[in-house]
Amino acid sequence: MEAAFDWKSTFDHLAPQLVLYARQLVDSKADAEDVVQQAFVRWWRRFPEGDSSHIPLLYAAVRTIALDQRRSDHRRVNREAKSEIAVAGENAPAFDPKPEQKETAAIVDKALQTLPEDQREVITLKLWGDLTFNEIAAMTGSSINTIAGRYRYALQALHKKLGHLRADLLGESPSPAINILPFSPTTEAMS
Amino acid sequence: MNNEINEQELENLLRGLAPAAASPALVQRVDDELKLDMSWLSTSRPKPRQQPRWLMSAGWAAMGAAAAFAVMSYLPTQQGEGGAAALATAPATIREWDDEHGNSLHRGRSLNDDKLALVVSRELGTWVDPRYSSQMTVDISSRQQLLQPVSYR
Repeated sequence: MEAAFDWKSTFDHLAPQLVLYARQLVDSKADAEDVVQQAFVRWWRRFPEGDSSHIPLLYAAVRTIALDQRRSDHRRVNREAKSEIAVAGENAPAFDPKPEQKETAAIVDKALQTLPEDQREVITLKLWGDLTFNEIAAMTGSSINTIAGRYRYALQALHKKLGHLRADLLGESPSPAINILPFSPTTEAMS
Repeated sequence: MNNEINEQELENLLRGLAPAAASPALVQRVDDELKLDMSWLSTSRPKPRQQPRWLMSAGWAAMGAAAAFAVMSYLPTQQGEGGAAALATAPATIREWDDEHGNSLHRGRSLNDDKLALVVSRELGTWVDPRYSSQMTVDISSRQQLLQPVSYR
């Protein structure tokens, strides 16, 4: 009977990444958790031994359920013209940063939201889900080249927003800007 | 020195950010749902081992064939219908001898002069099972000796 409850360690290990991924596909954290609950239960019933080789299928289940839910949500929203009731936890942070990472986490969170959804999906699966391009391609039904391209574009976009963080991250003092002027501004000022 | 992070550093930076943990409510909900499964599983009987799909069809076909064969073996064979029948007459037991006194040829018969016919038949039966669209053909051959009610004088 004890073996039946081994799911907890598997769930503790996977749930944060799954919720992060689901959040890229649905509107709120509450919705994302609903999706993860359904996907995990379905996956665990199918693979009660929690074999890590089946983890891509878990992400695939999250994706399927999230997309289904989003479709039904859109229908509901069209019907009800979006109520004013705030969704609990809609703006909850996506990351759980260490104190020194708080600023970075906030920027990354915002930067992720500016990416197109397909790029956001790939970068989440690759970086936090630890899936390979092959697995992501199989999951999304796209070619590996497409997935690799999306990943690269996403990294480039994030690079633009986060490039200036190097000094903070590596604890270096910013190097002085390279003087491209034909004269030294300080000597010019003194003269 | 380049002040910007390169691609590898960016990946490491992003990987270093831990996603927010799932809420305790979510863990509780999953726990409840899986416990419900376990309570159901513990009261149910173990699932029987799944048999290959073809086994059921083959079983039905074999049963059909056996039943057909049993029926066929009890039915009287019909000559000339549904099969080729060959009739071969056994050699007659009529004998001839010369009578020395009458100088005539006498014809008589021995004690075992019954005329026997050897019937060799072959019957083909075909059955169609509409459930599986299968067709079964049985070839029954037989060899019988028949006593013919004919006497020679």
